[in-house]
Amino acid sequence: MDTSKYKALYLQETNSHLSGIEAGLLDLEKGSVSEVDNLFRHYHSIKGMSASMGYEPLMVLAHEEEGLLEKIRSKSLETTPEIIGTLFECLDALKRLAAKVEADEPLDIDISAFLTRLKALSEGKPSPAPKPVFEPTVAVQPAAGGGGAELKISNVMKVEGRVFDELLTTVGDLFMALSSFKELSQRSRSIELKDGVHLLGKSVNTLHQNILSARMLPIRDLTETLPRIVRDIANRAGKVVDLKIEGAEISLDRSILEDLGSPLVHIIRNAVDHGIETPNERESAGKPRSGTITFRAHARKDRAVIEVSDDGRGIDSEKIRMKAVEKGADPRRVAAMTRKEALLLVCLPGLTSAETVTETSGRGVGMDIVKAVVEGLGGALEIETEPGKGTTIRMELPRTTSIVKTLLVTAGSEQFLFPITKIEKVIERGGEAPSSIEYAGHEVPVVDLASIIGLPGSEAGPSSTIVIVEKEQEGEERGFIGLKVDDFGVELDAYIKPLLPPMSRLWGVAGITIMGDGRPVFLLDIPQILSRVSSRPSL
Amino acid sequence: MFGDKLVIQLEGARLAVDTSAVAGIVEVDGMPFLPGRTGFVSGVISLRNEPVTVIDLKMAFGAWPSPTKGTHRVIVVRDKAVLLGLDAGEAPISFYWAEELKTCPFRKGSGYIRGEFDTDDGPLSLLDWKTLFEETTRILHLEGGRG
Repeated sequence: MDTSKYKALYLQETNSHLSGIEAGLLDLEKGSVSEVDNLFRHYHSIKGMSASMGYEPLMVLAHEEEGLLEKIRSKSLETTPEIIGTLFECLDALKRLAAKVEADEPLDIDISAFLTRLKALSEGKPSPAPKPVFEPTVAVQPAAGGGGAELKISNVMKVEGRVFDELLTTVGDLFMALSSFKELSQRSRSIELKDGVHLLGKSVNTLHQNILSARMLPIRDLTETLPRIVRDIANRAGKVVDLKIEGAEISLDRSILEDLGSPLVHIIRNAVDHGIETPNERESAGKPRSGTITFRAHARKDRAVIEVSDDGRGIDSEKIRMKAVEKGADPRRVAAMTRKEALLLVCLPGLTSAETVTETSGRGVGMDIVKAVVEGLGGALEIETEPGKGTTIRMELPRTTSIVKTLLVTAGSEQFLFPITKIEKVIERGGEAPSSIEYAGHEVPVVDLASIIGLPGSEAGPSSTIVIVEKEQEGEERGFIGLKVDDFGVELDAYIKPLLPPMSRLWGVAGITIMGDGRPVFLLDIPQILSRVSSRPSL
Repeated sequence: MFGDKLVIQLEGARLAVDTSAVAGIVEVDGMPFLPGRTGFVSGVISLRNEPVTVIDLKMAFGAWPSPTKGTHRVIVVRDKAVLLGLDAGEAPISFYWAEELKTCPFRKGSGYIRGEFDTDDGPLSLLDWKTLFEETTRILHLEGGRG
């Protein structure tokens, strides 16, 4: 197993425990016996972490020291100056070893003399004469001309997540200020101003990239507690469930991961409680007694796709339709929904009752919350199911927050930001926009973006602009839709703010930015727009 | 209740908000578009780089809406993270000081009005902008759900 990626975390924790040991030994030396428990915990932690990482000398030395402290803790031994002195020397040895780990050097310090002395002291025997292995870490007399080198601090820092949140907000403000400067410089003839704005832009971008990379965390941080959660829920429900995790090395922004915790537990709980059958039911259905939940993550362009699949009983979409109508949904609208859209009805708050859960073969519990969180993060939720075979909940999410590469487009009389990652091609052509266009061997329907959003369209101009986007669809074949816009402008690195109440559930838009001149401009939610386009009877 | 008030002189009504809740006054020419705007929800503006949902005060109180073109004077009110823009159109804005209100009788109100002061210049209605904010959220949620 490659443990190198955990080295920074190991060093951070180990150095913190070594500092705790130093403080504890100093207190113990002053007669504070209550420190023994704390010291024991510090040595025990170092031993465990070093064993996991394969740093044997650290593990063995910490183990012997732990043994000696156990004797003191159980009152088989009394603390003596010789014991404390030896523990201090061993502490220096641990520090040297940790420094070698940090420097990627071999752990070639001979610790046998320390082990012999610790063993002798544990057995109540006088310790053999000390054998100097190296100078102590903290010199009593500072070395001439080199004072201070001994007081080395770690390269790894613990920083509260809040600090990164504030840094990112500040970078967002810088982007907005930059946007104003860019506009000024475009109007100005000053070369100095143009150069200055260019340099500022480069620096702000670098700063943004560095902050983003510092905020990225692997999905593993979220999934490592899942096996225990699945085990507990399955035990309570009298079911047997295996959990498979794939792609947990994909990293996401910390704030996105943080928000995903609760929805993920909802989905897993629903899968165990209502998706997976009891062992007897499964056996009768010709399935293995043990159900399987698979957590799978992968990257798709600049987004992450997280899927939770189970091999349970699936969801009956017809029952979901019926239940939605019973709860007050418009019957004609429900009837016109595709199967995919109908399945998303489980996310209606009214459908999250226990009764519904039973009658519709599960799901629904908290799915309204799941959908709200995923959409609040600028993502999209999808459900696929096959009765008797299982269900997949798919969440497509941005991997980072805030800065999105966009194209400024005009639809009707308004401007919007179009996420560049969604654009296949922009086609400009003379005359009115056609009702369909040939692209990549497909006959692509063209629809007016303004009318989809509910804006009055503008009069036809001498030319038309069509933005081709790929639509998500079942099966392998690709499909496209052309969105007719009235104009398109510059590409922008836009700092996108989330839509907060009262705007948090606006249809068709996923965020908002403030332009250099103070105008608010919305970021289009392309998956949502395409979903409306696809449901039109003419397409 | 009896702090300094900013007063919006609408046709037929004087509405007051606590000056301590006023984050700023923004003048815009034409109200920028807000997807799903309906009822008295009229648009979106920015105040110090923050987006602010705007409601049309006249329409909230049952009068004709302000035209979307032309000058809009928007009073932005804030309580922590909650922000709302109150579009007063071209209605005059003035102040009423706490000292003047101390002696005025106050009656509890309902709906979007927290209460009414009886002042020498006639009734002064204290706006319950948080209820307006909640109603705005409800309206936009409904519109979002219609997507």
